[in-house]
Amino acid sequence: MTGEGMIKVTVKMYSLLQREAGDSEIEVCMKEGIRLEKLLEKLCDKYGRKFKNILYNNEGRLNMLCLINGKKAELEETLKNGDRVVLMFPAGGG
Amino acid sequence: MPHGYSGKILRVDLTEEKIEVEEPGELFFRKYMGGATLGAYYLLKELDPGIDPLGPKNKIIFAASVVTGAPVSGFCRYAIVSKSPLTGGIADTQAGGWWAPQLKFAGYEAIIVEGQAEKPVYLWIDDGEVKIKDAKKIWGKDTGETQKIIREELGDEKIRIASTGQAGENLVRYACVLNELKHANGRLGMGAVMGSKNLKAIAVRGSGDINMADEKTVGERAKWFAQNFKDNVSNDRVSEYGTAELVNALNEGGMLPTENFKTGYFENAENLSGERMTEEILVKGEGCYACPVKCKRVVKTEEPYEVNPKYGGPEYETIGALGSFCCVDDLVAVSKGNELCNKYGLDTISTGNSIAFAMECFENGVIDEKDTGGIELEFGNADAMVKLVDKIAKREGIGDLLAEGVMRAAEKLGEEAEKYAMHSKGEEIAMHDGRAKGMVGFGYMVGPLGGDHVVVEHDTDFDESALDTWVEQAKPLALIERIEAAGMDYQKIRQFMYLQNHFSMMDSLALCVFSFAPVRTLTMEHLVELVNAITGWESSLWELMKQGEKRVTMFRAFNVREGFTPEDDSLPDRLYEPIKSGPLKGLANDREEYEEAKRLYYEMMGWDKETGAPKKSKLIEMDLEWLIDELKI
Repeated sequence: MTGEGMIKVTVKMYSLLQREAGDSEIEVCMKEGIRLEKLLEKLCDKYGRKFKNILYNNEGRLNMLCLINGKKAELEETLKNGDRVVLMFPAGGG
Repeated sequence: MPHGYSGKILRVDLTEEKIEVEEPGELFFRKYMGGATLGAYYLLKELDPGIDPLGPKNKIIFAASVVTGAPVSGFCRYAIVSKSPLTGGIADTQAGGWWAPQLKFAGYEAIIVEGQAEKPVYLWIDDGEVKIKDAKKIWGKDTGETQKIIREELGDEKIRIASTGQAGENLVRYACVLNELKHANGRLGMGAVMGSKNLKAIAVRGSGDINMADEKTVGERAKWFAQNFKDNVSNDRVSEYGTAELVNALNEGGMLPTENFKTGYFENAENLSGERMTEEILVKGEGCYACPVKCKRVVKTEEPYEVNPKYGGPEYETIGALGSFCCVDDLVAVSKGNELCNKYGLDTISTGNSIAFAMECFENGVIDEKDTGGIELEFGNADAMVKLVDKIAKREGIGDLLAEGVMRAAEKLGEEAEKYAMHSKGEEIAMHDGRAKGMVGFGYMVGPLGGDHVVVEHDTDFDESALDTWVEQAKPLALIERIEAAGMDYQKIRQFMYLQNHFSMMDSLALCVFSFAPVRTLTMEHLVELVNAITGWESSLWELMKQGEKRVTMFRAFNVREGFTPEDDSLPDRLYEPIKSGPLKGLANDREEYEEAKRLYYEMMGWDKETGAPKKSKLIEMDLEWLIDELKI
């Protein structure tokens, strides 16, 4: 249940992030109006340094793609209740 | 005495049972450094155009390179080169593993096999001693039994063996060759060429060393790689999850080939993912000679299919082909299909693509249960997929038709079926969407081999979401700006040409693209450093890139001589039609844009717009003037 002024989002983590988190999908409750950037900070706090080192490169730039409801999202984007956030590496070649 | 290579090429005439060693000289190996560049030289010199790929006049060449066998990640590969029974054009298909270094330790750069044995044989190379041996005991056996029997017969468990299985003997047009039961020279039917020659296997044992010019530098770089590859996201990803790590990423991006290229989104893709494989059925990761990455998978399952771990586990391409392309979401069934392909010696990509073709024919009433022997061949039917792999290898029932490949099968089934045949030049298209990745699609169109996905480093490695490292590491190739992943604008035609020459160079040197820049750990600078340290040459990226361009030019010349024209550089209509669902719903290639890109690309490459043949000036630039008369230009 999400209380008043709170939202709940689903976070899907693939690949090395999944390895570090030990979870592939979690639900996160946060204050309304929160931005994607804040969610990522929260995840880094929860899962620690190695997780953060996968998410960001040495220059502090995001190493991964963030999708919100299937669309590529910017860090400034505001999250809404029920959003599905996917964190993944760019596909690359095979 | 040259460094890095012995300069010896073994020539085996199976008709005459004659074995010779040729030494074409140092100049030759600087001009044709190895892999398919070396192979194409002999095919162009020695094959008459129009010969039957499955007849005694075809030749099959197993070629390492001047740098193969150096103890560094990525230097373990070799090419098999021949005229393809699938396309009628040139074939070049490569495998890693352990066989090629062993060939080098035995003192050879390459083997040219010609003629046709009267009865089944295998080749036994024991350093300087080479014998054609009776293969009565292994004919009719799968690759696992073949390996076991040969090792017992020769009394050494460490002998490296490249063999085909029953699919090669049965001349399935996309039968393959495997070493260590899991490293496949997968594509274009080299197992069938071996089968046609009554050649079951080549067993090798070598006790020599690679005589490197600067062993210290090579050793230091190998150590550096081992210490640093985990810092490269792409190497870390495949080390942890295998190439199957791509499944989720491609699917979320809307570009996972699904339902015979109707769409790029597969609802249940996660069931097929590398992450899932690791959780549920993985035994361990396994690698190739001198490589710490270990991107290969070994899986074991009991129910509902028993999968033997000695045949490895499915790669991304296999999961795409036998899985999402057929709408099969069962990783155990896909692993069973993979095991059967490796046992029988079948290319997993062409096999899965052919099964998806048959499923679409079934869906549309082109074939029915009478044709399939009672199998409900619907998309998503995992059990039917597994049964069809078996039938194709044995050429039983519908399998006999599918063993011909989708181009020939569609010709037999009629016009309706042609719409469902996802091939280029007769080769089944690999598991990357040529609409989501514009250059990959263009590679399917103009690439010399057909539906090959290893023509260029993929578009998504350079688009707005690509990692900084990938974009940075491409800069020595004069690729300095990011691109859009879809489409073929002017920038991308140029980028395609440079990247094609780059991958072609990697193939000439028989190197693994999973070890090197732009995307992986070893940079362009490291590449040149290593080539020089191994050979003692003072080479440069410029010289090596020209080697790549030479290979593309030679392939073009071979295909033109076989009667290929610009019309053969085409795509299935479906890739000009919109993706029907998922994040990239509605995305299609623009036919006009692709046709224009083709014309401009020919001009950039120095090829004639009307005939597609390399121009005289280009042949001279490539140091290939001996081809001028050959091509009658």
